Amino acid sequence: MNKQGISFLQILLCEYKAILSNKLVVMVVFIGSLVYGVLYPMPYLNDIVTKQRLVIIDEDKSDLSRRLIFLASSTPQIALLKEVDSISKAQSLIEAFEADGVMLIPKGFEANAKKGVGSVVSYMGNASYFLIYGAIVEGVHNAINALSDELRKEKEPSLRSSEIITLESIPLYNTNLGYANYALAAVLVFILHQTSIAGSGILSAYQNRVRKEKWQKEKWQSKDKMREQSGENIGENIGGNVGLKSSVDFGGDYEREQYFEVVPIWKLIFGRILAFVGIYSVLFLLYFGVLFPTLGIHIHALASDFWCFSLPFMACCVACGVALGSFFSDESIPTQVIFVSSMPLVFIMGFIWPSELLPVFLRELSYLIPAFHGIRGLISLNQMGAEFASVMGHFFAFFVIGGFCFLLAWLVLSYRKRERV
Amino acid sequence: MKLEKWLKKFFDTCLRVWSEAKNTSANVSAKFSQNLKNIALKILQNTKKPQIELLKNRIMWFIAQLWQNLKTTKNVILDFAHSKSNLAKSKLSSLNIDFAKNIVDFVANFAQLVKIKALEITTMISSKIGLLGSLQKSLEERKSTQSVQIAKSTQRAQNIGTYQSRMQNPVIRKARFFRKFAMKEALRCLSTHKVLFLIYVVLPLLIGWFIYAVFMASLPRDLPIGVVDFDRSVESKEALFMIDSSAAVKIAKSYEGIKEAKEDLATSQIYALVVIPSNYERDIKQGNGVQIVLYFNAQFVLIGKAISGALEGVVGTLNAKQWSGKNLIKAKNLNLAIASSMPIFSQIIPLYNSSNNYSQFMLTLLLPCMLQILSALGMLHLLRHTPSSLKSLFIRYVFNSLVFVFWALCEIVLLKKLGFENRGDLGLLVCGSVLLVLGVNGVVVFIQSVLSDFKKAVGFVAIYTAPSLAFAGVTYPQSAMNVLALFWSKFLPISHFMELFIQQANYGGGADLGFEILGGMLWFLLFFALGSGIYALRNDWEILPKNLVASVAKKVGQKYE
Repeated sequence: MNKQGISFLQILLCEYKAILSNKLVVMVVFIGSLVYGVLYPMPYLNDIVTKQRLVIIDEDKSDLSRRLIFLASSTPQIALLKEVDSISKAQSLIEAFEADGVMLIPKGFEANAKKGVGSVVSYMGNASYFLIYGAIVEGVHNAINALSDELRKEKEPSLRSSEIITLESIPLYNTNLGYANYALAAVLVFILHQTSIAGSGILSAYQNRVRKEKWQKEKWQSKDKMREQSGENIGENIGGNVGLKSSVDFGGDYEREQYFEVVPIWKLIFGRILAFVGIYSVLFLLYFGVLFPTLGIHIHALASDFWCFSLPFMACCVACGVALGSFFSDESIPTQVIFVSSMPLVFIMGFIWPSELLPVFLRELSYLIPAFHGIRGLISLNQMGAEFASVMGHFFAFFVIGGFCFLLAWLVLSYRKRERV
Repeated sequence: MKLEKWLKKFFDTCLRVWSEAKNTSANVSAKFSQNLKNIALKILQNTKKPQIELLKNRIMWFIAQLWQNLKTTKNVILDFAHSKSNLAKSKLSSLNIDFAKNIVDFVANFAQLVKIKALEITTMISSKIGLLGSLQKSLEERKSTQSVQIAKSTQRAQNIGTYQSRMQNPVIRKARFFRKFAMKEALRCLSTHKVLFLIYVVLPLLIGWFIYAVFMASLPRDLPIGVVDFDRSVESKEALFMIDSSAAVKIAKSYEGIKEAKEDLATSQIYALVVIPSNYERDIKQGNGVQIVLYFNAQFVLIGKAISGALEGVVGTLNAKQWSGKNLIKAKNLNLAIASSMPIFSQIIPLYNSSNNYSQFMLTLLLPCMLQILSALGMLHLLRHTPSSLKSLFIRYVFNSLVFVFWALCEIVLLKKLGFENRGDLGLLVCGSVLLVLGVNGVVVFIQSVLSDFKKAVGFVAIYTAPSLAFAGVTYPQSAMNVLALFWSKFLPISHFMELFIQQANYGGGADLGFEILGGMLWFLLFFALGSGIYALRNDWEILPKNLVASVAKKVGQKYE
């Protein structure tokens, strides 16, 4: 390879070759993205939690109580399991994982309601599982409201509205409060973020290792030569510290000059970012074009807005990955870092748990992670139909983070290159 | 200061455990060896010596007896021969005398032969007896050396005792400890096993703290919302004040119109928008009924639910206030009106997490999830270099599991200390944690044994354990999953563990169901068996350790030689 005449296109081609010939990168970037993309949404395919098993304790056994039970059973969230006669029996059913909630209709329910004293219905949901609890509360609440309306109308047909002030709650963006739009829309973006960082990190670390080992080999070879020339006793020294290692055969990788050693570092990093952005454009198409519609996740963003936002996002992620990988000369470390950090990081992204409730240092930490801006921005654009102007903050954040990572990678890589001398 | 104190405490406890372990092990080993030696000596003294004597005596007696018998028979034969010869002299021919003489000679010869043989036998036996004697002597010698050894070992034990008693002195102990153990060992360990140190000590603490910090707030509160007040009256201001003073929400911004708020809603600057209509005050006063509209961001389900719940509460109190106001105006109709407005009151009781505490909900799930991830990673690092034998593999497996069982215990204690539900049997939870860790590590052993490539195995372990949060069945219930997801969920030890944890800690349920769930987790141990089997096949391990086989063979060979 000619040192001067290597063009940017050639670097790009070399990058693609390096990516595709490195099994680990292929595994993380392609297999990882696809497997996670299919595996992660699997539990949430049913989206809304329905048909939670409700146990009834009907102490009143009146027409009205039967009416309430009927109304409760006709809500989609609830499936009646059975009627028991005591609360302890209901409890044992819940604790055997056979039921999810209890509705208790007390004695004198109908009489009190008809008299106008007002009667109390207690319902209990298993709050160990928040979604189950929410479904049961919603179902029973709806049933009770419906019954109340019926009673009201029966009593006073002329009454337009029983309450002076009413609240009309209108859910926006994710109108059925489903899980797919809530968690998956964000998690899938996060998966792409993690695999891109890991993939580019692995490639950078791998090249560091190759370079390091080659230099070491050259060092040993030159040492051996020097010893031979000066007529020292080689066997002793080889037995001491370098003997074992210098006998290792490094194979073809080390023989010829590698492209990443001859090209300028800034060009190398640019080439890598561009190469990965190309691959991730395809993966983004796959995720947002195939996975999102099949999972029923909304995509409201304009195509131009979407790509305008996504491309810097990808580039920023890759820059982060290169910076991460440049520190190590063992390609398993970036994978491990990504592996361990995934779960804690998901929770500071602000979609499961609101950012406003995070401690200040964690909130500030989350601003430093490209995924935070990526998830926030893409959710705003896709799920909530925001205009591009309103996600400009996140958009610029990519350039700041990406630029910083680029400089960092440049610094570290050039330091590593100078190490040799 | 706190860190220093904590470190001191940590090192103190480490030292105590260490010295105690040393002490007890020294005691036990000394006692054991003494007992063994005593028993051996007793056997030698009480059984071997008399037996040898007895044997010797018996043999001598037997020989003497034999000799006596031979003598008597000889005499008898000689007598008989003499009488016969006399008789023959007198009566029978010379031929008979010759015959008799021949017989006598023969008998005499035979007797001589017997005598010689007997003598040979006696010398042989006596030589054997001499051998036995020398054996006995050597045994006695050995006994004496053993007693010396015992004395030495007791001396050693005493030395250890004095060392320990010296170690009881805190000043000396600390000085020694920091010089000898903490500084050197810790530095050496750190420099050689940085990654393991990270996984075993730093990351569990760091991630535990991180997750705790994330959910420190426990309940959603002060979520920013926007308001549009078209009325700008006293009543509407009061309503807004009421909304602002509820715990879950905080009015961050007020807008001129709904359109202005749209972009802020879409970028999550505000999570909801409350719209108070014009003529709000007038309609209330006239009793026409008004409608406050709440647009809330349902994209973030948790936040949306919290806000709509809070607003419902506020409107309820506003209503009650209005009714009590109306009470003064048209008193006679009030009961009817209230009853017709709210004929049925509902009372919602959250079971097992009475305050709907989000931090209880998430921490009980996230900590075990992180635990299994770290455990898998630690196991993988231990297997980075292929173990040399089954024993080595087993030791690595057990060591890694022990480390993370320790963290699991810490986690259970932490959850208890945080005041979360903890009714059930601690023993069962500990068993569950042990099985969780063993199960995850077993799967890792299996994966690594199949791939035998650390870098690839990291990827596979990541795919296996990282999405376990979604499949654990707590955030999204197992009953709502489809078959494939349910299968994958059952394939993860964490989902069984979470079931056990909720069944025990939250419900305080029966041990029978707990054991049933534990039984389901036992299957994961098969992965370890499978993995070690693959390892053994790949590396041609013998089922029994080689040195044991060799030593047994040697002993057997010696015996037959």
